[in-house]
Amino acid sequence: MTMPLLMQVVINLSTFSSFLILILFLIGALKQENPKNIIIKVVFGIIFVQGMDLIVGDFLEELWLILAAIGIFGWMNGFDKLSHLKTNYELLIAIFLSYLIVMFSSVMTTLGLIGYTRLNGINKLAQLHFTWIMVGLIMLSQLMIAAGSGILVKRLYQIIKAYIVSNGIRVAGLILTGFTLFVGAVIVLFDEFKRANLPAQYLYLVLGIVLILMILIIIGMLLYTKAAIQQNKVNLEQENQRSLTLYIDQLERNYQEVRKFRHDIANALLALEVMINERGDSVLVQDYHALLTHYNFDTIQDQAIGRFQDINNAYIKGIIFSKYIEAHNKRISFNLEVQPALFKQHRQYFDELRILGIFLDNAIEAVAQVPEGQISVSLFEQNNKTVYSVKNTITEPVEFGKIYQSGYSTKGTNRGIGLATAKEITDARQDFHLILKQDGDYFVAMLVVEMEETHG
Amino acid sequence: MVNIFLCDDEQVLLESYGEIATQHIQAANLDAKVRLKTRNGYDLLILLQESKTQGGVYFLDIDLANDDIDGIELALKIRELDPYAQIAFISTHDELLMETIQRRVNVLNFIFKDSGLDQVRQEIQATIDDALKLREQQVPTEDEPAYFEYNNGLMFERVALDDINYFETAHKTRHVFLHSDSSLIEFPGRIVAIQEQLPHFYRVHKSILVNLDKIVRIDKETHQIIFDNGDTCDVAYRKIDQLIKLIQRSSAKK
Repeated sequence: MTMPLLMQVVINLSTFSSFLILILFLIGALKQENPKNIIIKVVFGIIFVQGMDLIVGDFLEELWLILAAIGIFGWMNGFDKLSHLKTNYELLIAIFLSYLIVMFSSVMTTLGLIGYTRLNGINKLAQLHFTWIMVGLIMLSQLMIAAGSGILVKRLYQIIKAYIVSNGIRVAGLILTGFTLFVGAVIVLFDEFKRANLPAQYLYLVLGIVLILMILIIIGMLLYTKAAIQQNKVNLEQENQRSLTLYIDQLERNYQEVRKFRHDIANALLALEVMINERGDSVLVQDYHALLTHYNFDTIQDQAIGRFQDINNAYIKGIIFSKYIEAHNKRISFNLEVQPALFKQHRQYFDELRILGIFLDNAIEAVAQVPEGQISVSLFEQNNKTVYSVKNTITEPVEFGKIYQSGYSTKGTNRGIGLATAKEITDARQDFHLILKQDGDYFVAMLVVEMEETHG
Repeated sequence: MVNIFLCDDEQVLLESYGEIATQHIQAANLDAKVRLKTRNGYDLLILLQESKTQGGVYFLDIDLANDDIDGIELALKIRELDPYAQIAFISTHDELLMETIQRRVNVLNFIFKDSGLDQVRQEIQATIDDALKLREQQVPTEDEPAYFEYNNGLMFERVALDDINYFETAHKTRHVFLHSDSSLIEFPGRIVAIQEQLPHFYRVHKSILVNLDKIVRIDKETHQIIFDNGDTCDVAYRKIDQLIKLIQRSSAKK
């Protein structure tokens, strides 16, 4: 636009000042100092920028603006604060955002001008005659648009800040890089645009593209930060899991050592007893028995904990463990036996889990009221089939005739739907077989699953 | 003559078991003998293959240290060669997996070394007695087997015929449900084949084979058969009359 130099300078000054003030607004520094100080600092900044402009020329204008902004910030809060990475990021984001806003407001104002010229039958902006009133209007328009956008953006900025604070520098760095590239592109684009005397359509086009890009980038950023948060959570959980696994590993190892030791001792003691008996020395035999009673070897009652390590699938381990806890809380003795490496580590075993859950729930309910009640869970493989077996002590014989009828249960009415469901599942799958039987004082429920033919 | 086999990798203990068994056989005048004492599971298998013994009694140490084959594997192989084998494990309390072993092998007894020699002696004697008793019950009567034998996929099992109420084809192909007083078992099989095996069972329905002796009541309206334990099953409409006649005939016999 061919405008008298003075007018250009005035407009520039207002643009610069709105840029700087916007930055201060965004980082929340406006409230901290009284307006007089702010004005003084901003004026200094403007003088610096305009001065550099006149000396070096237009093309490094943005650089001077950024430098001015940093300078003002340092002046206000102390230059040492600039060494804090977090404050740097905040400041830089504020700079970029306010640059965009100022660009935006200036472009909108120019659009308004073009509209005005069209209305007045003038074809090119270059032919427009500028008056001071128009200058005033231009400045006003820019300021208002900038202010409005600024408030909107401040909200957005706060959201961005929150994300960065909760996710650390790495995420911030990536966001910032994306942002920088984008803003860089905008700057270059607008510079070119300013220099060439392009007709209005280009302006519209460019504006449109810029807006769309901005929206896309913001959406992209939001999605990315969401994903990053998720990933963080997952990583944390994995870390916990790893520590827990190491701990259980160590426990299990200790436990195995003790077990082997006890086994060997028991063997040796029995052999020793035989030899002593053969001696025929009754005093020796007596002494030996006395010694054994004195040392009173107890067997470890609760061995289940050690066995969980052998379950190599998290889902199966999970459900059995939670039922184990339930049983434990109800003072039910819970015995677990698992063959190691029985499962595929990552498979979900959806149907098996449901049936196992039903078996376990039934067992727990049946045994809950029984003193000295026991539940025994056994997972093993035989003849290419995986077997899930749950056994529990019973107080009265099970009526197999009614066992599948919904509502049948030795524990009372309105229960007993579980086995019917289990049968539905096993009926539907060619590779599932259901076996229920009563073995003396125990009820045994077994799920037999044919293993797939896998080659290699 | 029942053959008793002993397997433990500790020589002292092995001898000891042998003595206990032999003394008990003599004292109680039992029709049994100790056929083999070995520290090595493979020896036992070889002997079994050559002699083709059936219905032997086996005392096995679960933790056979000096072989590749451990007690459980040994038991499974013995079962393959001798389906009527009666197996007792000698072990320590800490040898877990008892439940699993029971599901896989169907063990006669667990004898615990850490209970002391007296206890072990008593257990061995009791086990031999139980084994002999069970063996007598295994002998089938002339016309019909007393047991229905089947393979449930894991191992060879059997159910007393007196316990079985009916067979029913499963929803999935080529499998059958066995409904008895104390069990409900799904196993691979065909109703037609079972029908041939058990002449005293009647095919009341395309998918149901019923034990005539276990029927308590027939309800004509709903065409259901009711059993002793409350279980019910369908009857094909056209078979009801025939069924009633059969029952009357068989109760007349008795």
